[in-house]
Amino acid sequence: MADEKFLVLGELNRILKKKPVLVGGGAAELYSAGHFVTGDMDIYAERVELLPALENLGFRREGMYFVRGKIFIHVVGSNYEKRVDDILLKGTGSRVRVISLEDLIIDRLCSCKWWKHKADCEQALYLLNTFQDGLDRGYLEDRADEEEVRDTIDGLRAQIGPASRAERRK
Amino acid sequence: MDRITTIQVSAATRDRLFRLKFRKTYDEYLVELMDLVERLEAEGGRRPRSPGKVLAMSNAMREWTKRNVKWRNGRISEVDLDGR
Repeated sequence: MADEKFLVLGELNRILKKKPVLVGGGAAELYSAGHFVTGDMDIYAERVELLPALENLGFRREGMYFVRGKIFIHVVGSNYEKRVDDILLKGTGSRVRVISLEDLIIDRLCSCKWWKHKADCEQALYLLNTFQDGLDRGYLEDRADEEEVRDTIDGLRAQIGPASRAERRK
Repeated sequence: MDRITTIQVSAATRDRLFRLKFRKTYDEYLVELMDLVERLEAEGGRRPRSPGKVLAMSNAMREWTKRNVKWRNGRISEVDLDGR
C-alpha cells in the first residue's frame, strides 16, 4: 500500500474543488518512487477549503504544520502557477497533482545553487540522470534560464555524461 | 537572493529544524545532535559524498525508479510506491 501521506493527498485531491499541488521533497519522493523519503508534504492549496477538510481527516494545527500522527502537511501557498502533472498512485485508485518533473528539478537546483543544500543537489542529479530521456528539455532550459541556474544544470549534466557512457559500455 | 550572516538560518533550514526537533525541547534536541556529531567524529567523521559516488551508488536505484513509473504522452502518469 502506498505511503499514507500520499493517500491523504489523494483523498484531498478527490474532495477539494481546487485541487492541491504537491511540491518539494514529497514530489521528489513520488517521482523517485520512494528512493528519496521526506517526513512532510509541502502543498499549494486554497486554505478556506482545505482547513475544514483536514480537520475532518483528523489533522490538528501545530505551528505552521497540519499534523496527524507522522504526517506533516505544510501549506506553502494557494496558487501554483507552473506546470502540474496528474499522477495515479498504482494500486490505490488515488490521483495526486504534482509539480512537473522539470519544475521540481529547477526547484532542487535553486536550493542547490543558492542555499548550498547538498541533499537537493543529489536529488536534482538523480532526477536529471534517471529521467533525462523523458524530460521536456526546452521547458527545462527555459526555466533554468528564468531561475538563473543554467550553470548548475550544465554542471550536473557534465557529471552525468561520463557515468552514462560507462553505463552504456556494460 | 539575500545572503545570510553567520548567526542567521535560512527559511529552509528553519523548516527542517522545526521538523527534526518536533515534540522535543531545544535542549533535548541539541544534546541529541551533539551526541551524534561526537559519535561521528569518533568514528572518523563523514565526508560529503562526491557526485561521482552519488552517480555510481544510484545507478541501480535509477533502474528501480524507472521500473516503478509509467509514462503517457510524454509525462509521468503513474507511480508504484509499493516497490520500496
